[in-house]
Amino acid sequence: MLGVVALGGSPSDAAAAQPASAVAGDPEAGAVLAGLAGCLACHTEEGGAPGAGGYALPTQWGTFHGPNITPDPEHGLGAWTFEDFERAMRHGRDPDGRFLYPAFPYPSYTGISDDDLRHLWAWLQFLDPVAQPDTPHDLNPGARARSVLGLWRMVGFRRGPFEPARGEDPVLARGRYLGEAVAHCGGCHTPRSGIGVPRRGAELAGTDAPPEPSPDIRPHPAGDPHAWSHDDRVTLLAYGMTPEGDFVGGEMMRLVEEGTRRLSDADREALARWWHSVPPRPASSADDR
Amino acid sequence: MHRPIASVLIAATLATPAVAGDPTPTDLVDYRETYFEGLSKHMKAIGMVVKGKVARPADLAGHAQAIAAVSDHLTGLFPAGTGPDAVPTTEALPAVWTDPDGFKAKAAAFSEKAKAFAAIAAKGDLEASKAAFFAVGKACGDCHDTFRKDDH
Ligand code: HEC
Ligand code: HEC
Ligand code: HEC
Repeated sequence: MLGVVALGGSPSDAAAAQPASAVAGDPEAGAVLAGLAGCLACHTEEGGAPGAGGYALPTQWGTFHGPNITPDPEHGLGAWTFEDFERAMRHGRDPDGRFLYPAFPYPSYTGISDDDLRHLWAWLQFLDPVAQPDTPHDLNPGARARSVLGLWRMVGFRRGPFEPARGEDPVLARGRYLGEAVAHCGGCHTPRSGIGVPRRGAELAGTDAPPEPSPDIRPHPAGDPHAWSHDDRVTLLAYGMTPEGDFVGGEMMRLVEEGTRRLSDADREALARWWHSVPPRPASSADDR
Repeated sequence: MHRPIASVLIAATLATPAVAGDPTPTDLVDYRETYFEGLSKHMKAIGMVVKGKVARPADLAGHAQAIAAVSDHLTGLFPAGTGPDAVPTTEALPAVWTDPDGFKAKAAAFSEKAKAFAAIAAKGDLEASKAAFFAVGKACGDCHDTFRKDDH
């Protein structure tokens, strides 16, 4: 059992540094959020220590290597404050103010609420510190200078946190928060333009992009015999099982096991509701699923 | 000594239409796909029970036993000559035959989880059964990830 930890040193320091409404981070809530957000997937190399980095992420910009996010003071986040962490997650900047690459899904995580950021930060403190230096990224010449990201951010980044749309159903808004800001289903399932911005009007339409092709998961048009029911969606999120009794694998099964399976029933229902609300695939593209 | 005769027999077998007891590669693929569909149907039925959609928890043990009982057949359903070269419709990847040890390891992991699930389901503990069921499903997906075509 993990305890609830106060942030930023002693409890009194933490109280002084934070607004009165701030909750203390709960590492167990953080662990579920981290599983849903896939933090360890990109920050752990095969067979490596959790969060110690090294994982290779091939993209159209070149190959990124997830850095060390364990609390090691020299190679990890040990010297970071919560404010540094918030700047990375919400603003996509490192503690020196330099732009981070959007291969780190901060354009989604920017939507994560203040409370959930605290939970994630509390969870990060429970990773074993590992003194493993970061592997440098291996990027195409045009992508090497972080300064190019300033331009990219004008089209690819809208700062959070997430806000429900006016009049939005609260369950749907909760689901959209979990699906867009935290789980970022679109991070794998939405096709991107040449510069890596999600293609408009193609939300969750599937992509062959590395590391693994991710299928079209848009709802089928109404009346289609292959249409999934709400219950089918909840089952996928709880067990990784499709309506045919088949099972997902790879990165998707990891997300189910570490994330969607561990959500409360209410959150899983909300996520399924949002997923169903995404614009459907055109009737002509309905394949045999 | 026997070799020339054997080759003649094989040549004859390949040249003549299949007779009963002499399955063609297509039959074998058809059979194994039917086997997997059977697994899926049991898994789907189990899913309906563990979700409480159907209030028949006592059925779990039978479904789980059925899966466990056939789980050891799996590797035997992929003899040489039933890959994509021989049967283009198969969804099995060449890796099944080029990495037989890897394939056997995934099959063994599946069989182990299936038997563990059967033992748990026999005790009638619904909560523990849910977790054991998930572990079986994970073993299915884990093998497909490496050994079955993606566009399924
Ligand atoms: C899709 C892969 C991916 C996922 C998922 C991911 N990250 Fe990262 N992360 C990266 C990459 C790549 C970088 C390096 C970015 C750069 O160099 O600009 C990074 C950078 C970071 C940094 C900055 C580290 C530094 O030393 O500058 C932090 C902090 C971080 N990630 C935390 C997280 C947390 C917490 C999560 C989960 C909520 C997460 N990451 C999920 C890929 C990922
Ligand atoms: C880290 C990348 C990644 C993320 C994030 C992700 N997926 Fe997936 N998803 C995949 C991959 C890869 C597959 C193909 C899995 C396989 O091989 O079985 C997949 C498969 C699926 C399938 C199976 C489709 C079918 O018909 O077989 C569904 C449904 C799905 N994802 C829904 C979601 C939802 C909903 C989310 C957000 C909560 C999500 N995915 C987030 C990578 C991802
Ligand atoms: C050791 C590897 C392995 C395991 C374990 C495994 N499968 Fe498969 N599965 C395959 C391969 C390979 C194919 C492709 C067979 C073919 O098309 O010839 C396949 C095909 C399938 C198909 C498609 C059948 C068709 O009609 O084309 C389904 C459905 C399926 N598996 C479900 C399951 C389920 C459910 C489980 C677990 C209960 C499971 N599989 C376990 C390897 C595996």
